[in-house]
Amino acid sequence: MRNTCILILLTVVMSLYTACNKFVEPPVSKNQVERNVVFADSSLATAALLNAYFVLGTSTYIYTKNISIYTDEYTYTSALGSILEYNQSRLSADNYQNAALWNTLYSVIYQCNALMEGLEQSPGLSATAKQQLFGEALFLRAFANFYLVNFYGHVPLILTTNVNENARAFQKTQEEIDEQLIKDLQQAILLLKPQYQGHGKVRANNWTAKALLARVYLYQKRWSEAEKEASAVINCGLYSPLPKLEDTFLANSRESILQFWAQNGCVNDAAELIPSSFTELPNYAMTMGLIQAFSETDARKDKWVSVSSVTVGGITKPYHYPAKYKNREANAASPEYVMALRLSEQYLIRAEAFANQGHIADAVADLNVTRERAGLLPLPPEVSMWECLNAIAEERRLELFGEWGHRFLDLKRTGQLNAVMTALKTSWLPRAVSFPIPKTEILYNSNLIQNNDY
Amino acid sequence: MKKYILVIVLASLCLIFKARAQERIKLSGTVFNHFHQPLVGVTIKIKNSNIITTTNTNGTFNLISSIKQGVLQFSFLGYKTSEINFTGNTPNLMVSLEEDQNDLNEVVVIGYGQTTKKLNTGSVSSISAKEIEHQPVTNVLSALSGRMPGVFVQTTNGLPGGNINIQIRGKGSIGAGTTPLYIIDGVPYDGAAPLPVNDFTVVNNIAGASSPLNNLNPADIASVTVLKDADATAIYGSRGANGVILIQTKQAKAGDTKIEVNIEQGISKISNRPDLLKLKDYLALRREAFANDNLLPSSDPLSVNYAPDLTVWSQNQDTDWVDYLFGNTASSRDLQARIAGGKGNTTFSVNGNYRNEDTVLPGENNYTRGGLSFQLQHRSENNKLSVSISSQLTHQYNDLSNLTNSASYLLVPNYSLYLADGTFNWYAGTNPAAEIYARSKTNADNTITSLNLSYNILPELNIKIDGGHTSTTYNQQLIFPNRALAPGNINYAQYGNNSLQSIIFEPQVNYQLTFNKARLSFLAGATFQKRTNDLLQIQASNFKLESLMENLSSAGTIDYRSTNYTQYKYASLFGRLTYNLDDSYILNGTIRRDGSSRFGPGNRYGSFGAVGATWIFSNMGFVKNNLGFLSYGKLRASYGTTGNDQIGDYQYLSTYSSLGSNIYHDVATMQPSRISNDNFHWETTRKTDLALELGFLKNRITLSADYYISKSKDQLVYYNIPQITGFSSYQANLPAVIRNSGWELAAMADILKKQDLSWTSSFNITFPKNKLQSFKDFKNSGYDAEYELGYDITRIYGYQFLGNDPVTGKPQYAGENGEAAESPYFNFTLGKLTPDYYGGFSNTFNYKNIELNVFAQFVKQVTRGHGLYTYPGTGAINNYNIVKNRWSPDRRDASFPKASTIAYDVYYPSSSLNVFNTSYLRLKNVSVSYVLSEKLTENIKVKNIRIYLQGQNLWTLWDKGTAVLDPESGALSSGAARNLPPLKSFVFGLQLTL
Repeated sequence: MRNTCILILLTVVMSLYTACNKFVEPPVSKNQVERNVVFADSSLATAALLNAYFVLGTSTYIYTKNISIYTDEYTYTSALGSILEYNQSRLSADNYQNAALWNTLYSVIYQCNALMEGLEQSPGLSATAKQQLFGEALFLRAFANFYLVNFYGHVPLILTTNVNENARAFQKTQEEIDEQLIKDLQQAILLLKPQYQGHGKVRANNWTAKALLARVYLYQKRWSEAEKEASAVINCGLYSPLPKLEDTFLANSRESILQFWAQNGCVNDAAELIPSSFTELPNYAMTMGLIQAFSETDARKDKWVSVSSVTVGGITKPYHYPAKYKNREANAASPEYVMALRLSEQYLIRAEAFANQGHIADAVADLNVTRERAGLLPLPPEVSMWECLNAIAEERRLELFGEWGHRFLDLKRTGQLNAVMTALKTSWLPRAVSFPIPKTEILYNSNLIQNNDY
Repeated sequence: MKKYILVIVLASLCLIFKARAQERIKLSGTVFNHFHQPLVGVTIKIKNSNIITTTNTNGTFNLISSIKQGVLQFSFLGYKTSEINFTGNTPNLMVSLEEDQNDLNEVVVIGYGQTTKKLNTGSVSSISAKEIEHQPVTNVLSALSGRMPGVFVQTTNGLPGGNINIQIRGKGSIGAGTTPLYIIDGVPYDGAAPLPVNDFTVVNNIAGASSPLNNLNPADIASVTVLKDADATAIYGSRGANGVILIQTKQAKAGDTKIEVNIEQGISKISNRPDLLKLKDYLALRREAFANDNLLPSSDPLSVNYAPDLTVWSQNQDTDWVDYLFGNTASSRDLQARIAGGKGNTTFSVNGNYRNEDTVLPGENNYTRGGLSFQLQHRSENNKLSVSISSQLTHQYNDLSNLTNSASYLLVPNYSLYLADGTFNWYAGTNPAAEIYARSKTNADNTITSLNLSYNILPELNIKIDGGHTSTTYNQQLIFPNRALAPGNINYAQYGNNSLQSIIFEPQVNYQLTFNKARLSFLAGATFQKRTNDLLQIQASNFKLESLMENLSSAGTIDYRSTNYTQYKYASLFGRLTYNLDDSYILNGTIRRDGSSRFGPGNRYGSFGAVGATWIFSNMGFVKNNLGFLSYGKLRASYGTTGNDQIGDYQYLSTYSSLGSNIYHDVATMQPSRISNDNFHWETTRKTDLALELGFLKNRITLSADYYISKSKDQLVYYNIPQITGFSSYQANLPAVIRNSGWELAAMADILKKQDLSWTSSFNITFPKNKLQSFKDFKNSGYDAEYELGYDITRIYGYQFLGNDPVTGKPQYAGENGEAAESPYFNFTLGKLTPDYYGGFSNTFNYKNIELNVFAQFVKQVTRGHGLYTYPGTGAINNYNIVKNRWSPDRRDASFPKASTIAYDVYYPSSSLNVFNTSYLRLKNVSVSYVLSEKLTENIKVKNIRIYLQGQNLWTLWDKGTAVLDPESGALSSGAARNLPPLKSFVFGLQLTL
């Protein structure tokens, strides 16, 4: 009897054992797609690429307005500690906003690298589809690297998705990153077609890559190359003439070279920038310095700036706030997208390149394109090189204010950042020319070295 | 098989004939304990004779007697002896033995079975319904606080539905969950609220994370048992590493149908207040800061020196924000009714409960829980088959003001909630008067159903099937109308629907062999579990009609929509062998092989096992003869491994997922879900436990001491990586060993034991130690800053404050060499969160019909303060009173640095200045109850009336000069945002038994 029992038991145990083995087969996940499936289908692979655009146009973009506070464009009027540090231009290494900016840029780089690796291994996609996606990924990687190297100085250069290598990566010099930027953009130019994908101008084409390359050359003071790339974009005819000021930031505006698509036709942080009424204190008020820099006749002061009349402590005063984007909430009738690259900047790049090569008249002609749209009198061509460069710098300040940290980057690349900011803010420190590498990055990768004095 | 049946039948027939032939009578029946569980080995004797037998594994017995009339005597260690008269043949006797209170033979529930306190080989602590009843708690976990050695319970949020942390024998994991495994009536329960996705779901309200046991009505619980060492937990294999909490619900007893009603009414206040600056001192601090910087406060919002607190707001209005935010008196009502009874083989119980609470927060807040539970047990006439089903239905409704942040208590005292034009003042980024219009409404439904079938094939062989189903749904709406939001935001609402379904099936076989003096029992079983989690989340905004914000269709825009579906499968085989020699030597071996779908192919299975041994030396002749005062002595030891698979599903798969919020160019985009790693495998913990248990003077005094060592290796973590890799972490095994060890001491004494007066006292204390024992390639691991080899993993690190420069008042911090430096070193060890010791002290007094319980708990610990966000004087934010002791020309030796408005010192909040001793002694519970005399109750035809008064968190002894809200709630949570002191409550109740 006992033996029989034991036999029965053993049989039961054996059959349970096999049952167990079968039971734990991995179940299917319903809202995730395995990697090899993504790269076997061009619409899924495209959806993977578009996410990188999405991140840049939402997360990255909203953190760039902090840089306007950091310099002399905006003042933050609320009390969130991490943004107040931008007001004082004293970022701590664990500033959450600064880390978020860094993180979104590296997230984009990862997504581009993953996409390129996936495309290389994909047997299913057509060569045309691969070429297009690959080119866009290269452009987006360059776009992210451009901001990283210029905001943070020495940064690691990440070109693969290999976590073991990347987690221990060392920083590269600015020159090494620039070299890669140019390589990526040149390759993107070869791969990308001159036409945009789909409606609007929300995915990179050949001209987009050239426009960014022109900027990269400008930053490196490679004047003739900058001039050449900017000329190509200006002369292609797709973007000129410049539209009216009030139409500049509309979706699909004539001068836009790349816009980040915005759901509901309203940019992500519009409600934060635009007060809900004209008596409310704007969270991000434009500084008096910037307002006073506009001449009386400059139409941009009227079209791109709004005013709120606010009563504080019994006294009513006007507060100016940026109004390049007008849609505070969804607007299907006149949608706006996030402007990333536009023709005005290309004119100003070429003007600066001309001026530095001694072609003052050409420089002034380019400079006058945006001046004239703003209703200003054209600058006479007979100015000195020094005057011309100053006028270009001032024009960049007024034309590009509040866009992607242009002011900070311009002051930095021309070596004026410390001088200008020290005069304005008592709390400014020389270290502030670069943002700190986020503290946890150094914590988890001891090969990274913090920027000076952070 | 047929052959055997034939043999059995023939044999029984023979017996009957034989009995008839000799004119003998037959007595048979089953003996149960009060849980209606059969008792094995009960001695049955016909009084004044030598006819004797014992019950078999089913608790049944058969006696053939030549004495036709007499008294049957049932005796069993730990139970009161019972006697029954008999005349002639008496089949199917049902005998229920009553437990002998305060004995070592009380039943202890263990994994897949039960044993007694005396014979148990593992380390187990438990509390009974009685101890739970004394405490007016919403969540049963709160009732464990301080009561058990080795179990550290901490209420981090005192709101109804608020979170409670529980840690059994220390933190053994850096990354994977450290939540214990909950088993309710034999069925694993994981009704935990889902984790947040994109920062919203159930957790995004002021109550913080939701404890899964909020779903359980404390009054339904008969006992809570915590399994700690390897011997007790290895039967749960991969899920036992963090300890196991077994919860038994109340079961019915056979007898007359009884109706029990319990009504309670209570009030609560916060138990503790932070010590903050009053207006005068606050303004002085700010003025001093501006003066020190040679700056003038400005009333222009565009000025860097904008200081509305000094220039715009009233200089007289002094608001106590703690009062404003947490100052209300909350009330609670609780109603329980139970009907239980049954005859012979069938018993039942039905219980209904209702509880309603409001909170100490401003605005309308309401928490309601209602539930129904029932239980039915049946045993066949021949005692071979038994069936029991039980079910618990709970509904919770929690409607809270969604104050995003309880840290608003640091608003400056003269902050005005309204501007001159009557609109809300949002300068501080928060405004509690506006935010109370933001609502968090959560409906949670929970059903636990379990079925147990048991059949005795042979007296010594039993098969059993446990099946269970758990269904938990959380339905949440977070409503943010315009008036609850800072200007610039547009009204929005978030809707979350989470459902969790879990099915488990566990067949088991029990086999028992009895030799002369020894018993061998064998258990084998299997587990199949499937759990699915379905999640739907929608965020919508731009509602034109704010009164219709709970209606999705009135939204102007859908910002975000997402579904998520995960499935988890788990299967295992387990076995246990227990050898008991003469109730003095017990050897226990456990083995379990687990498979989990959370691991990649090739790593899916893991084996776990343990051995435990017990020697009850007080049974030895030499002890009995020489050490008479020692009534009980036991040595036990165990060693084994358990695992942990508390990680997310699908982590080994490389996938892309669509978030629902990410839409570009009208396409829902796909993003890489994670950095996949198909190499990670089980985390294992090796546990060693050594214990001595002693009883003196007929067990009037009992002592127990445990020493344990747990070593966890291959830690499953979201391995922290720099964001340059594209992600902040990925799932991996950490090549590290974490060692938890400690002493657990418990003592209990019946100090007084008189007819009308008794006093029982118990005390427990735990000295936990935790350290990171080894870590492969630690220097390059990325963990070398956060942790220190050889030191506690709950390490607090930061800058070492060296005092202020007596001349300038500037704080000095140490460089790497320990001397003051311009760039201070960030990685000094400043303390650890693991307490030095913790424990509790409980006293019960009985005088006639009055019972008084007094319970206090204590912890010796330090923690990082979370009130000192900014340097004193920087920003319009209030500070703790301690910063009054700051440097000034007349107070050059002050502990806090000179006030300043320029945040030039980022080291301050992360420095040793912000680490505090938060040791405390808390009078956790006092309860008095009075049972009305029977004479009184008989007249009104009521069996029993008990009235009681209970107080919780009544008084706390601690150093008020610390920058935390409360020493209990504040110590473990990293920020103040979801932190609320436990509430001080008084409850009056009435219990009626009809």
